[in-house]
Amino acid sequence: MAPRRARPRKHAGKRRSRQSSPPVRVAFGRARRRLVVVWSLVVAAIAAASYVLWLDRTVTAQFEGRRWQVPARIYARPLEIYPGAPLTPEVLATELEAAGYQSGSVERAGGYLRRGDAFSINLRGFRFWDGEDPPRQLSVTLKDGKVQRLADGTRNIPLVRLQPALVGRIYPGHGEDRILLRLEEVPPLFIKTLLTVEDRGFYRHSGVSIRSMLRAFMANIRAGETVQGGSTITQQLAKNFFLTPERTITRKLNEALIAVLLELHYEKNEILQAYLNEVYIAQQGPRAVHGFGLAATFFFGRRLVELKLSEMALLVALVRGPSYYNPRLHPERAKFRRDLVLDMMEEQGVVPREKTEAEKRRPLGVLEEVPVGQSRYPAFLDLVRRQLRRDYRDEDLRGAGLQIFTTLDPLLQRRAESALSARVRQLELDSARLGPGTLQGAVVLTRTTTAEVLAVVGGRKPREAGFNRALDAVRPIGSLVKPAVYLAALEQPGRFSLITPIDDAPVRLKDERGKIWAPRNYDNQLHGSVPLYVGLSNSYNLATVNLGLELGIPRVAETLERLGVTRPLPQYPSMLLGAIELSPLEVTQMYQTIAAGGFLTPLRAIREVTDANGSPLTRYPLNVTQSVAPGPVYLLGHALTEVMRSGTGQSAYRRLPEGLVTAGKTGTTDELRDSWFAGFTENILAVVWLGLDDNKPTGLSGTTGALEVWSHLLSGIRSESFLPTAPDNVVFSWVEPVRIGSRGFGFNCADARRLPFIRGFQPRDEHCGQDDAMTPMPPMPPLDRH
Amino acid sequence: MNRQKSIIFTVMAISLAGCATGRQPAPVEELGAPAGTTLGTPSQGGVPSAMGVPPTGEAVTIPLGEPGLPATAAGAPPGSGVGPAPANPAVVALLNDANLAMQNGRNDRAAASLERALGIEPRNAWLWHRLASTRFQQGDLSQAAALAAKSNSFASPDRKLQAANWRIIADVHRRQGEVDAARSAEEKAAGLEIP
Repeated sequence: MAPRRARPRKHAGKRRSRQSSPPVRVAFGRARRRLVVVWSLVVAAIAAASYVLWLDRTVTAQFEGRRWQVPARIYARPLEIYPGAPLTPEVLATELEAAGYQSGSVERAGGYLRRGDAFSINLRGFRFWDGEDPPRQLSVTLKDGKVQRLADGTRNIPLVRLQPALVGRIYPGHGEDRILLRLEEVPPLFIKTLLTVEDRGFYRHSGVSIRSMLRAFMANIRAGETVQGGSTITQQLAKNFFLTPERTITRKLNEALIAVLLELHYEKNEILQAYLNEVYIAQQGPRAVHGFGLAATFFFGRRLVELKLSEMALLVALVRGPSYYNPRLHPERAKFRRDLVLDMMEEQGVVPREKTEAEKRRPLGVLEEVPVGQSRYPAFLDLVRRQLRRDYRDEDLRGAGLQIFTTLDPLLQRRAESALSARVRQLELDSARLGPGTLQGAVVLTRTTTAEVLAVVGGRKPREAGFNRALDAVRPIGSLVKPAVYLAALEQPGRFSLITPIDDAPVRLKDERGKIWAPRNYDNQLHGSVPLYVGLSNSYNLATVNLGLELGIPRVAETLERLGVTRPLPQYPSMLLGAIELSPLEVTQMYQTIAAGGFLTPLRAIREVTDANGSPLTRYPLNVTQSVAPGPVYLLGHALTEVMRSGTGQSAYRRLPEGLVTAGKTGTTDELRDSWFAGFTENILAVVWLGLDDNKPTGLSGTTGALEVWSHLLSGIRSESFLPTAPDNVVFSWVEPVRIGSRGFGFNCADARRLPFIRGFQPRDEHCGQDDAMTPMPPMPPLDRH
Repeated sequence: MNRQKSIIFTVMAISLAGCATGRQPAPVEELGAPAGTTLGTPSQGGVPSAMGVPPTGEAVTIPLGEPGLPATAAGAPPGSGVGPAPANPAVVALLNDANLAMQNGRNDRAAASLERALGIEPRNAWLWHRLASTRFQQGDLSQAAALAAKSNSFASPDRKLQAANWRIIADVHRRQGEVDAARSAEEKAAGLEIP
């Protein structure tokens, strides 16, 4: 936001008449001395002129070429509020607080009131990617966990989105932070306050003001201390903009000179606007707070237009000494100076006495805590940055004031963080081998329908930036690979259905180094011939290896690729049991495709990016690719619900609501080093990894470790049963596979169940009940369990 | 080309009219004509001018609800055989936004509004279908086909909507010069359009 050049440049101090020595006959020595003096003057004049010229060039070039360094701002997804939307009063209050709304009054924009289940919200206007949402006087009535009524004033409205919570920034190298303001966005009263205190003659002087210097001098003598400075706004801008803070005569002179040059080139309002954005107001660690736009947020959690006179006066008071008058550290000093500012307003007749007296009675009103400075969700923001780096240069990310609208759901993020932290602590307590504080983990949460990433947890201490396990812990995935093996089978309906017998029998193979590879089942048992879906739901290693070998490893690898795995895959048999290393995020992509019915959608953490003014730059649209046919993936989904009903995932129902249909898969690696669980409902997919950073065994399987975190998480959030619509080529048949002896199975109609089949490949012989294939039923809810 | 357009327009109009929730479609009468379908005059409310009436073919009446209000069961034509659920007004509002954006040539904004609507009703086959036709208008053919397939994954048992999706897929194949695939998709559409 460099101010536009207002007038053609004029070059100050360029003309000097050439002096020549007068033709007077004088003594030679005297004449010579005079010549020296004259020539010295000429040289000095030329030097001065050159300096002024150089300064002029530098100042104008910097002033105009200066792109304000504004950090990128990263927002969570906006909360959509509409009648019928699931929303509790607690969640709404949390969302409002996160979006910078203050409870207690709706007098000003950004305030809200809660009376039981009814909220009044003075909604701020907000510029979204697709346009400006206007300010509103909202009332939201909630009932039974849903929005019952939504109105703007007295008029019912169908939908509104809350301004999104600011969740982080990407700073320029120098740590300067600001919110840019245009002059017309600044309340006139604020400008009056500023000019009354800092520069009463601003619109009259030409950069420096002898009068204000004298007045300041007198005022300071009267007060016995420095209460006014003689510098004009333009001089202060010159100082802030171009000069170092030392106090010397040279610097003072330079400051005045630059001020005059700025006034020559630019209009008053341009200088004022630059000042409002440049002025240094506060420091928070490495973050330097510049400009009144950010100052209003930094101290009051509000926009400048929302401030009361007393609050404006405090910001203006801070100009004189940001650290000396820091209202968080020195509230008495700050109040004294603020009241002085209010007195000046009254003296100058800007505000009547009653008003200033009332304002002086107000407390400072400064927020105790600084609203989000550093990233609150480092792991998620890490993902955002990586996605942004593909499309933006680093300097643009850091300094161009981009506004980044992400898919983060702050509430789910916090739930995921606390589920992980709480469970790993408990697991350590329950474990004999885990030292306290050693067990690590990661969680990724997505919305299955849109592949939007809702939450990313990179470790048990989610506020600490550092090793982001969700993205960078690349670990063997164990049995999480198995759905790909079974999917590859189900894609050949002529050969495999959910009840095709597969052999859970010993395997002995030579691996790629010529060593014998003889995997075993987790329970060290052999289960003989089992229906295909049981091999998956009970995660039998031998059944899976035999099936995978029959299919061929390349086919399994190719299926994994279609599910969205992009890493090069090892082409040896141990990959069938998960000797494939992926990060939790990559596993999420794979399961996202399964949860979304075979449609591959690249995971998205960003929806839109706008420039500093809110103009759209990039939109990341929802893209889908049908990478698996709907029939086989439907069958696989059904088998994965079986994992939860009767297989390795069933302990999740100790916490999950009985009627919630879920699908998922456990994963455990050699010697219990990695504990995985990937599972989903209709709308939420969560992948959990637990392990140690040094890769030592944890003693946890997927079931005893990651599933615990997953089920705690899922039981605490609202989601819907996984009941996909059966594709047209899927029919249901009644079957009941029961064990016959120890090495086989047959069918028994006593408690038959309906399983899905690809049309034309359903069993013909084993009919138990009517085959009403035209109205397929959803998977049954979970059975009782303990 | 005209026919392609008319299909897209038909589809848009239907979506405008049919703002039904979930898996249940809107009150639409006769989206049946296998070729050269045109739009009739809406009974009330404004059909965007961008959906001008193509010159040939038989007219189809599409009942439009009052703009901005949900289509209700009362608006269903007798004998349509489809009992629409009351639409979610938020989705209706977003569909209106999408229509407005499309009229103004802002396909990207239309797509964004539809994606917002999908955030509210992720299994609404109509919304996926609308998104498919928006992408088609944007010239993103592969996405148009994929989204039409996605719509079909939620569309059962609405044969008309499934047919409309197959028409999009057929159009995409034809534009890409895949004659056989286009014909096969069209046959699927025609099969579904038989009452």
